[in-house]
Amino acid sequence: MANDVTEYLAELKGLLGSLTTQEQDDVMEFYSEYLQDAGVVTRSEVESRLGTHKQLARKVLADYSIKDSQKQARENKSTIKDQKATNKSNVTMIWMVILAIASSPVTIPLALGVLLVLAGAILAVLGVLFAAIVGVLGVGAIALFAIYVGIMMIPGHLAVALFYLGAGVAAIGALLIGVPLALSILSWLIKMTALAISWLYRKITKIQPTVKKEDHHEKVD
Amino acid sequence: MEIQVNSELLDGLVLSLLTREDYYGYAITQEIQKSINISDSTMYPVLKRLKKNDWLTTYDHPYQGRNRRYYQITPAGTEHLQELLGAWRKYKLNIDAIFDQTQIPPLTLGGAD
Repeated sequence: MANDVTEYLAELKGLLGSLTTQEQDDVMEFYSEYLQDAGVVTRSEVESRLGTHKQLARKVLADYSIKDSQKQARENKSTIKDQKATNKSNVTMIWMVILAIASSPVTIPLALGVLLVLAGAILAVLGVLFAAIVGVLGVGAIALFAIYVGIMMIPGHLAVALFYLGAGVAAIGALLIGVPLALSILSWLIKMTALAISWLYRKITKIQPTVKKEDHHEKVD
Repeated sequence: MEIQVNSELLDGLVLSLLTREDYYGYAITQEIQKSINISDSTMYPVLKRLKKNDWLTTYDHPYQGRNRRYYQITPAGTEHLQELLGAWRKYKLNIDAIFDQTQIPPLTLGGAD
């Protein structure tokens, strides 16, 4: 195998660390064979077909991430720990796709458009997060205050004290219901963003192949 | 301008190829690229997906001192392909049903229409 090709493949492999050994081997096997069959010898020949090793690695990783997210979306995990893991993998995937889009030869307006959409989605998620935090703190403060007042009122104004204590406990109840709900909504938002991004990514990688083959036959149709 | 090939269609094209004979990776890409414009890095995820769904299997065959991995369609793959072919033919008919009714005003020399 030509020097350039071996080097390219080694560099590619180096970037696939986040895949399992089996997955890495599959990718390397495929492209190693591919390049040898293509009879390419220089790095620029390799890159004209597959892009740089970085671009190819990102494409491979994004593809694996998308598969994982879709798989998790189907399996519909619901415990909080699972949600955290799902969120993390969705966020990882979003990031992988951003890198893939940013590093592929997309026209600038398209790339900017996509990144703006992404920014919008991320802002939405952050917005919800912020609102949730403010809400929790607010209700929590009210609950504590009500309980405090209630306790203060016990000597002398028992009925009123009970009212305040009741209100405080009710507020705590609302928190106990609201917080998991807000977390679920957040998870769902992240999941939707991830799915939207992977859909976008597939559209983009179809719109522009890394290289257009100039010497095709005329299509019969 | 070109119409994109979606991934389901790509699946079908590869499977269709494999009904004719077993192919190795590079040959599949070359063959498909004779008719449609896809990048060289598109084929790997397609083949991976087809294998994952058990619509094809692979086997290795030595070639000039190294390995070549051949792809072979499975019975499940043939079944899936037939479904795809049915869906494609229907799709083709439906699209043509609309396009065939297109009315482009004929160009007349120097005349308004």
